[in-house]
Amino acid sequence: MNPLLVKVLNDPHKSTQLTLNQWEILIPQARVASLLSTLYILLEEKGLLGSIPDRPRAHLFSDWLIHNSQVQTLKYEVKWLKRALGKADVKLILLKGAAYIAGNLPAERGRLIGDIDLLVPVEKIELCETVLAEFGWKPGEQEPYDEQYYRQWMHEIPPLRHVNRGSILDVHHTIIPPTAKPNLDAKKLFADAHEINPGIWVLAATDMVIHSAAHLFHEGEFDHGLRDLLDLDRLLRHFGEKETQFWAQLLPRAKELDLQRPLYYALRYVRHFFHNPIPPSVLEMTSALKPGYLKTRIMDFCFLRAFLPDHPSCCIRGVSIARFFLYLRSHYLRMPIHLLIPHLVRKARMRYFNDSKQDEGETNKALN
Amino acid sequence: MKWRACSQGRIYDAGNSHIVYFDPASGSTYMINEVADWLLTELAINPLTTEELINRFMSQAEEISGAEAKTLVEAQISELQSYDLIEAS
Amino acid sequence: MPRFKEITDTEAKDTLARGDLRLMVGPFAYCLQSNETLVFDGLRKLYGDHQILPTESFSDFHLSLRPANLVQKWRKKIDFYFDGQRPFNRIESQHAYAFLEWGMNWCVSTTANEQLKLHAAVLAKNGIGLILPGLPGAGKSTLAAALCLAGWRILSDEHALIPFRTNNLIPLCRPISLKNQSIEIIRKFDANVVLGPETHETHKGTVVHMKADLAPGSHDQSFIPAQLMIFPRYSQEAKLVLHKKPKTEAFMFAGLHSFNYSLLSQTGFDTMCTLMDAVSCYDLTFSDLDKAVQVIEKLLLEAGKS
Repeated sequence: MNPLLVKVLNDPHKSTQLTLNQWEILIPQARVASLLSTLYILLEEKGLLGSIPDRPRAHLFSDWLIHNSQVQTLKYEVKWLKRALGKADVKLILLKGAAYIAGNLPAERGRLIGDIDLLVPVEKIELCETVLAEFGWKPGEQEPYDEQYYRQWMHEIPPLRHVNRGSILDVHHTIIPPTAKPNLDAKKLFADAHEINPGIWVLAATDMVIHSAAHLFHEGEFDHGLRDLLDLDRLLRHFGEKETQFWAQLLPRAKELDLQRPLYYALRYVRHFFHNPIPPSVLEMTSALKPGYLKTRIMDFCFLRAFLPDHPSCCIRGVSIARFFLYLRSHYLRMPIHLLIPHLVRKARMRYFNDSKQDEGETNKALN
Repeated sequence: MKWRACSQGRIYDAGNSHIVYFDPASGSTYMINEVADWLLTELAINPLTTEELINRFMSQAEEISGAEAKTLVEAQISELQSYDLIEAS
Repeated sequence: MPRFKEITDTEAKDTLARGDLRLMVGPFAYCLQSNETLVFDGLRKLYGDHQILPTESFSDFHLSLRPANLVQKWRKKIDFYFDGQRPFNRIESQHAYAFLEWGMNWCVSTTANEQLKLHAAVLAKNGIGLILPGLPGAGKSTLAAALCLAGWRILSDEHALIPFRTNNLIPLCRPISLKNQSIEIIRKFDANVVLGPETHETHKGTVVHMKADLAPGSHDQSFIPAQLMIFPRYSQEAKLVLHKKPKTEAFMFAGLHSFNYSLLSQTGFDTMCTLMDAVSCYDLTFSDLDKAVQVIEKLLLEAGKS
């Protein structure tokens, strides 16, 4: 199925022909997909804002105000991050949404971000944690089990939260958990990172795309799936146009990082949803990366459903199964099986007990 | 070590003993007293040391002892620094 | 546009059951769905004068209160759905009405950033707007209810909606929520008060909602300029005390207890400046509602003269 949201993203002029009842589907779809502000900017760029009804426009604008606030906040956080990491003599390398905004990339336009993702060398992780703590970013309260999950198994520090400002940092030392790809040489990513603004670094174009693909296609939860896929589409279009060597370098780099399969899926699904104009020569080469017939059918079944906005208008058969399968798959990709089963059981129990506690708490809070 | 203002903010002044200060860089809003307001104005023009600020303050405020001036000025410097409105240069 | 009371009970029940009951509340349209009797009864009692929209219209919020499945129905638990999502954990079905009202507030609190939103009760009389900011428990809802029964128009009991860089108030008329002793106090104030279903055994005791669109022109959508800002503080047995409040303090309190002041950054600040320039600010401590209402009427007269 092709959701109304995707149709309008691909052809913004359609927005001027929608009935009020269709807007009642589009706005909630965009809201649940975190794409309201993206839609606002898209319509603004095409000069279409004046041609849509007032109330839907108000919802788009309201979300754009949130995006705008986040951009300003990011600027301020980056100022402090530069100082903190500068003290540890570590480059500030931003990833994902924060990188798109700081780099002023098309993927930035309207993008809502949650946490700020950073990449630091593995040997400096502890030093970074210390220096970030000096500047106010400390690990939030974690269940001891979750803390162990982050540090011991994922070799990451848990998310850091600023004590006053509340901003959240995710500090990574590689772009995919080492338990998933123990042979990925993160040094290559650092070597090719470049400075887009004084003191602010981002990954090379190919690495940015590959990271985005790896993250998305190893992911277990797809609340932001469509948004992340749109990021990929925009990155590919932008770099494909602006960097002459981009397409020639993309597949070889994915091979070098051993991340060809997620890149294959990325190209497959940006083409399906957003008709991305991937050069025919690249398409030909990716056909060699295609999994077997059965696996392709299964992954299509899952991903074509997982990317749909989680709204009743997109409730086709198999969506729940697809999401559940991808959730299991993401853990399987991340952890060896003898750790995976106890982990899933443990998480399920934690969720059950938290829910029971919350049932009471939420009602109490709600009825104040 | 000199202090300098690192914020170009906006003020709401209703003639009360405190003013409201908005810092566009951080997006934060603060209620600051007259001494802090005066410090921000001075430091926006030129960087000054703590001692220079205390001396200027004494020359402008009537009937205030050196010790009182020192306490007031230092307290406000500390507050403004914690708000990231002034920094040591 | 027809008003909710103008359609029959049967039609109303059907429309609500199939999720097509579209109520105008100020600038917002809520599309509601429920099979719960409490929800239907409450809406019928309290929203009779609200306008309803046809099916071919745009509703800002799609809400549903229903059991998630047969098991939950048997357990007498229902869920609150917003655009098909369940943002909260399930509740007892006997709490359904209170949860609907709370949920309707939540929709505005978490979206609608195209204006500044303060956490306050908002009223108007003689074309003059009054804002009552306050934390829960300060008595603003009780005071708002008393003023309403004394002829003031309620613009909102939760959200002061202010278009950017103005001191105008956007009407958003809905029932006023009252708790515990406030319910009896208001019943004593006016025995004819119209109240919705009572919700018992909540964390804060009993909650009930009072029909507040009593004044003529309650559903008029024109903006009203704010000229008064009173910070109420209910304290049992306290003497009535009215003080002028420094505007700087009022600014900080209102801004800190706003839903989106920080989010709006410079625009939020500029709007607060415009608002604070236009309003006279007071702290009001009271225990006697009649006296509090009288004092506010006096302030209204003074504001009318300036």
